[in-house]
Amino acid sequence: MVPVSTIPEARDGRPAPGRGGRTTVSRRSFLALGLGVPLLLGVAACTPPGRPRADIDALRALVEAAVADAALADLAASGDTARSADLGAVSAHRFEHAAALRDEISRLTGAPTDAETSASTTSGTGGATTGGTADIRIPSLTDVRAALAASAGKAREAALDSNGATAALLGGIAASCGADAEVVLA
Amino acid sequence: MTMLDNDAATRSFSAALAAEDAAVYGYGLVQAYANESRRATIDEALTAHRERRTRIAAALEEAGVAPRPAVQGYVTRESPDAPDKAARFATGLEADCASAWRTALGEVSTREAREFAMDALDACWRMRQRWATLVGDASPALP
Repeated sequence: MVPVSTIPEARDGRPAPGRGGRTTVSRRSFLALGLGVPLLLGVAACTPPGRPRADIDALRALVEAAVADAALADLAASGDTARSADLGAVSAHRFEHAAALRDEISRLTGAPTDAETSASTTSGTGGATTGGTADIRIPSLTDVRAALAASAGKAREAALDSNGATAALLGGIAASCGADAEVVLA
Repeated sequence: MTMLDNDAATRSFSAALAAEDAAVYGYGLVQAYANESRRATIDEALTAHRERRTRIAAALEEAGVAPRPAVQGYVTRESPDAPDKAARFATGLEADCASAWRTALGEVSTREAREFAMDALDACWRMRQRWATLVGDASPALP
């Protein structure tokens, strides 16, 4: 699990200002003021008893994995016409997982869903691969299967460390990734 | 310490037991109408559901809850009377079990019960996808 002191905004590399108008304090001054840890502890204190405090960080990492898997599956579909329908289905599943995870994060934190990143997951295929596509090696079916299996493992561990609706969602995502890797892309 | 240590946990496992019961009963119908070539898949699924049923009943008894007797006539969808319908019927049985296990995963509080529910959810959803793939049906993103 990611330590609670990790500030998600500092890790995901996106600029803090202008993210859905949620903050008027820059990431740097936010950190300089030393508000990060108390705020995160505050968020943790609002979560149900027994919930690990690094939950939100873990959920954000799973959103990123879902978006990356979807992009990978889309890219693989472009090079494997025989399996493009299956790969497209897998990509759609992973985009839906990302959206569901984002909804879960906003339910847990009380913050609105990040409009900017939501748009990137619902705007269709290839969003994460724009720019320099010609230089990218087309992933194989095996690559996508491996990515899904890894994501299934991460979601499973997160599910076992969570409770309530979060655990149910993460378990569903783990099962979906596992079946997509081993059945849909078999 | 018992695996099911509160009312929500025993209730959700009881609901999952009912779904597993319905699957065992339902696969009897699938067996009657499915393609002969599906025999091994049906046997594999039936064995898994029976084993889980036995383990859930034991966990409920350990928690001091009497496993509910199986309710007959719980199959509410159209009866399968052709091979394709049989495969889709099996898809529904597995989806119902997966849904019950997903719910249980959110209700239980011990690590052991979570792992049980997670493994069952995994197994049922995979089997659901196998049946859906056989008849070329699309699948939802989540159980």
